Amino acid sequence: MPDELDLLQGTLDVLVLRALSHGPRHGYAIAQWIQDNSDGTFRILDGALYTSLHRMEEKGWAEAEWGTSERGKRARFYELTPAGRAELQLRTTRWERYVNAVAHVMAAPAPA
Amino acid sequence: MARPTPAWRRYLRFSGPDIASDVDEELRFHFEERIEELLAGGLSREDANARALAEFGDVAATRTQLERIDHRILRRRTVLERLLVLRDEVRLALRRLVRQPAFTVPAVLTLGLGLASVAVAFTLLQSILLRPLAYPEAGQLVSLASPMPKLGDVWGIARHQLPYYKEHVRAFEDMALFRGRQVTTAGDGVFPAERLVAASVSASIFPTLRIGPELGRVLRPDDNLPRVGTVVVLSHDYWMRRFGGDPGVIGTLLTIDGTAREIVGVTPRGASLPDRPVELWMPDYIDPAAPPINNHVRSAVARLRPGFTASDAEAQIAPLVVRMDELFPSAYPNHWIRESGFRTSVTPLRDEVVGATVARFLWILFAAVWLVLGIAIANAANLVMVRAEGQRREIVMRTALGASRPIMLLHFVTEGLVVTMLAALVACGLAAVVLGVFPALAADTLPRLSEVHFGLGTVGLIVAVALLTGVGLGLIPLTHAKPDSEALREGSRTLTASRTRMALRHLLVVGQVALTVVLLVGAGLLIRSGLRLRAVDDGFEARGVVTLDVALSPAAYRSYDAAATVYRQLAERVGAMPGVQSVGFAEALPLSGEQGCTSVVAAAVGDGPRRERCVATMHTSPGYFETMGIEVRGRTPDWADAVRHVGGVVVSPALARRLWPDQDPIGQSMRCCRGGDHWDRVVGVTGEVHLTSLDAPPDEVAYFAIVPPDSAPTNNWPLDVRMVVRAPTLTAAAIQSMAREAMAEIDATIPVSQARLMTDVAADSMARRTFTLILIVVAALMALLLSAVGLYGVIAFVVGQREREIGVRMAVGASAGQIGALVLGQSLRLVTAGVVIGLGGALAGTRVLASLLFEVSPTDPLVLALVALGVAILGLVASGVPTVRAVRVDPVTALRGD
Repeated sequence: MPDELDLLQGTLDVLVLRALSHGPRHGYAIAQWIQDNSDGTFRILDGALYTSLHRMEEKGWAEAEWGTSERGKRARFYELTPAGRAELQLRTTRWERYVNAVAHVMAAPAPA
Repeated sequence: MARPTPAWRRYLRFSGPDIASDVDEELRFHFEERIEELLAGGLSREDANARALAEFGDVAATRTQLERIDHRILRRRTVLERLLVLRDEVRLALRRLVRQPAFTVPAVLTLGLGLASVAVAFTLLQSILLRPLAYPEAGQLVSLASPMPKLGDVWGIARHQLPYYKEHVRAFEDMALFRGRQVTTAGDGVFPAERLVAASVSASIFPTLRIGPELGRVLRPDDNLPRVGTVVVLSHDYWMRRFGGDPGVIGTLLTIDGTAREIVGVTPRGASLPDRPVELWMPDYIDPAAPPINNHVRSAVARLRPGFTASDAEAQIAPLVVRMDELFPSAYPNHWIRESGFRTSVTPLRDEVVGATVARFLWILFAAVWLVLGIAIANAANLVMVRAEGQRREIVMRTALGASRPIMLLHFVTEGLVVTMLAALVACGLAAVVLGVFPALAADTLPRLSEVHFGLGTVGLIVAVALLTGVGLGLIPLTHAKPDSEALREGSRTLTASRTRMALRHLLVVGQVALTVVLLVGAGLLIRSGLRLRAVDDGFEARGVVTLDVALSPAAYRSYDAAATVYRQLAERVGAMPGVQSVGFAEALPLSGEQGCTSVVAAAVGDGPRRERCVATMHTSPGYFETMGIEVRGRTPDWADAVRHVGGVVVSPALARRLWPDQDPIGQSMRCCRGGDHWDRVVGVTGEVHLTSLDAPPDEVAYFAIVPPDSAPTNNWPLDVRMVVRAPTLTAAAIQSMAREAMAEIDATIPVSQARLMTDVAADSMARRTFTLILIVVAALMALLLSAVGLYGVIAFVVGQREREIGVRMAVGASAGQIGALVLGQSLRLVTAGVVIGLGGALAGTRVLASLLFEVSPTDPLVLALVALGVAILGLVASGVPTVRAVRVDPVTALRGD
């Protein structure tokens, strides 16, 4: 992992919400999905990931239930609630606005 | 992808979630998966372990945090689940109750009535008796009075006591004198002349009561010094009403009783004397240079320093009073203080304002409504039991099928609570309505009525009582839940309800009847007192008499002659009008509560405090006795006597008996009102008259002529008088306009107002007694109604239960009469037991009524007998319908199997 970036505060939540938006997942699957799709640009401590998941359950964004993993092991699965989906939408919009604004500034001509 | 949880896993949840092991299991899964993948990637097991741990971060800290979050989730979820269960239970209970109106409606209404009466009585008690007066730190305020045990009288406070006590009583932070008086404000073309309540006060009343100005200033101590130019402070209400709240009014003049006074300030809204509302505040004249006189007519209020009590103050005053003989010889000659037993009492101001009688009445009412509530609860309990008897098979079935005790408890307690909460709702509605119209209903019969409001405290009490009752009612059906094979047997019907349950139900009825008897005896005693009072001969004929207020300005009328001339002219003019039989004037009306008193001395007996009891004295005009229908033996002064300053006193028999025992009072001499050397001749004796109240003995009265002999003190002519007109065919309004017309021709500045029927004045004197009587009677009648309903319910139930037994009896030849006697006999036994216990309770309890009774003993046999008889008859009536039903039982139907 050559160019690791520190994750911006709160961005982990968006990533987790996004990971869950495709259907129920257990914690390890989410960790893998994030790692695979970020090209190893940043590093997330798995502990932080699980804390984020349990917080989401507390906030009512996700529901947890015990189920069986692909390899037949007992695992805890998380599923988005309608409130979680709404939250994801809200945060996605906010994130895009933020990225666009930063990009806009970066591409702007030099100050007069 | 996830597969559904195997069925056996679900059972794990029944043992309750184990958060720590759940977190462990979740993390273990994570590490196993990660390590396996790293191993597959070619790492050694050691490296894979280290890598997975490094990627995770602080495992121990994470675990703690996850457990903490999960605990929070669990806690919230449990509460939520319980609430949902409760909501469902409430919904189910409501549905069940709605389907059984025969149970629900009487239960809710009975309890609602009971709770409402508690709510009303508690609100009255709380806002009149318990809540502090509307002054800052009102608990520190005390009232002063002068009891004289050896004269059997209580006087007010004299002016010279103010500086004396203020200086020497350490317990007092401040002290003030006040008295209310009626004044006349002059009209100004737009506003007519008005009669108002003014407070005549020492300036210290403002700091004592902590009343500040809303505008301008309040009175200052130097305002109390006698001088010519003088001041007035307006109340907020008067300022708004008369001047529309114009701030420019400060510094202008207002003419009061003929004297122009400068308006110097306005007090805030609601500022008043402790015992009455005030429209104007005027300085009393307190001249430190004037010699003290024995004139104890002012009310006094003091503010205690923090840490001192009323009895501290009283103890500090006692040695001061002892020295007053020598300090103020002009006021107390001949060891007057010692001879009269004169002392100064200090009582909390609130007790003084409310009065001992009202306090006692409110406590009695409060106790009475709890009895009513007790009866209502007994009724509801009975209804619940009857219903539970019907549900018995269901209850036993559910228990047998494994419904746990907590679940049954939840079921029935919820039902009980729903019933009592509905009742509480009904009660709050009823109480709010009753208390809303209460001030109008009670009009002046109780103190502090304007402060009576339905408040949160009352709602809290009602809800608390309803909660307790609901839980209690909910526990009753559980006594029916004992597994009982008999109850489950197909078609079984036990011939009678279980012995203990029936006994309990009988006990409830007996209790209800007993409580009702206690209440009815109380009400009966009060009613009998009222009847006794009504039978008292007040000594005058109120019917056909109208009274009016006439007030002369002290500035314009400066002698007996000047005042008497106005009265004579007015009497002549009004007396000549059609329909008017006679006209007279006096300074006070009987039973109006406005009579003051002064000491009088008879020539035949020596001076001394014992002879100086305070006696009602007033100037009366010719025509007064005739108009009021007061009989007089001897003669009364006429207008010719007034013109010639002849004088002449008419006395009441009570006064004559004390001053001249065994002698004819006519021809004797007497002296009044520290009158120097002025002796007046007694010319007539009236019949007995009740001047102050009907329940006190006839008063000692001395009626002085409207113009006394020339030797009389010359500062006492009557300016504020009640005109009485006997004209049975005319209305009060007609007489008032006639009198105003006549007065306009004599002196248009003199207001004639307040036309009232003398019968109303007399009725008002009874208003408090009548009103308190009504409240207690209402409570007793509610009790009677409720317990009649309860008795009916139980007897009807018993008849229903014994239907089969009755059928058997009839089948073997019992006559209808015998069946009727059987059922009636049972109710009579219950009623008799209740009456006997109730009479015992009444004998013990009605003693607290003694001070409210008039010429009736708390154990009056007539009342006791009537109540016992009445309740017995009502008991029979209540059992009548079920008895008829029992007699009509058809043996064939009753014996046919289910």
